[in-house]
Amino acid sequence: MRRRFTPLLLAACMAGIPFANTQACDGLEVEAPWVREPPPGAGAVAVFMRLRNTGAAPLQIDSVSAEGYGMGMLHETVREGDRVGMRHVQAVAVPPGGAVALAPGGLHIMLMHPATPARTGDSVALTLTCAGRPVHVSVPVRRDPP
Amino acid sequence: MSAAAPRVQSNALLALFAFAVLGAGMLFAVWRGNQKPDIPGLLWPDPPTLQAFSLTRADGAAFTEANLRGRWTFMFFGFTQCPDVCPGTLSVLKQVKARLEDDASFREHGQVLFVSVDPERDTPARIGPYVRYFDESFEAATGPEDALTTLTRQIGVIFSRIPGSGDDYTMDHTASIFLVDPQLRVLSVFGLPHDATEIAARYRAVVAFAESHR
Repeated sequence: MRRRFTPLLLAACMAGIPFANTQACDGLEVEAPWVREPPPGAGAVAVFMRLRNTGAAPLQIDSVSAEGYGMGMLHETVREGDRVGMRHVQAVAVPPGGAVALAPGGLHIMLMHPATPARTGDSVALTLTCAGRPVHVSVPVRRDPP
Repeated sequence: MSAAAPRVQSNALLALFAFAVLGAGMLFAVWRGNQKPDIPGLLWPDPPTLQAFSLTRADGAAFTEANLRGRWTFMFFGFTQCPDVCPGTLSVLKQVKARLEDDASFREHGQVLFVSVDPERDTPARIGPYVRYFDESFEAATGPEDALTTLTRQIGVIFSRIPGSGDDYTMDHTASIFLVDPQLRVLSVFGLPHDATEIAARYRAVVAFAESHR
């Protein structure tokens, strides 16, 4: 699955923002997003995707949120030997012409305090904030990685 | 009379030969017993043998070392509010089980045990539905911190609570999978990243090795 987002148009249409102000997030592409279906009792879910920057300027995701979730955070699973843990990361930077994987065992988006548990077949309406502008991503819920 | 001397000599030679063969055999047995075959993660020649511990199973009954005796057990430590590594690992263990369907030792005596190291949030009632989401046969257990450490300190598993925002917290924990044999020997440890094909292949190698080293 490959989805191309044009934050330029999105932002301009949705908020009537002047064209030039959206330059900072130009070139962001979100590929193969998915959220792991939470087992019963698990409150938080992890969202994975590949972020690509086809533009000429560095871009950065500063925050995340999702409809129906009390909180969204950028997280990283960190490993020290065989000990693992999760840490909040302030931002995810994507260099020009580069890509960053949000993947199991590494960087991911954590969504907490759901209104209702996500189920396979649902989609989560996720918003990435890039240079102060919202980028909307519809994320399918899956039991297993694509 | 003159024929007796060579016979005595040949008997002595025979005895010496038999003794040498026996000695070589014993040396070979000792050598073989201490040999570590080329199985990654194999804890040999001194695998830890689990001593008494007592946790609470999802249905409220006790889960002790007796529940491991006579079984081959994959043991994993985590918590239900862990969105990445724990569901990932339990999915892998589900795949391992599928890959070992043709293996009599696992089909008849295998089990998967998830131990929650977050007893504050993970009540027995919560961990049961959680593991059964992955597989109906998966077992889950937890207990107060001292009951957990009675088990975890035996195999070097660590866990600690990391404060987050507000009342939220997360747990750091050892994410290796441990394989316990029917005599409670922890024979193998599977580190990250977990791969079902690799784990199933190593399981077969460990079982074959253990059968020849009872």
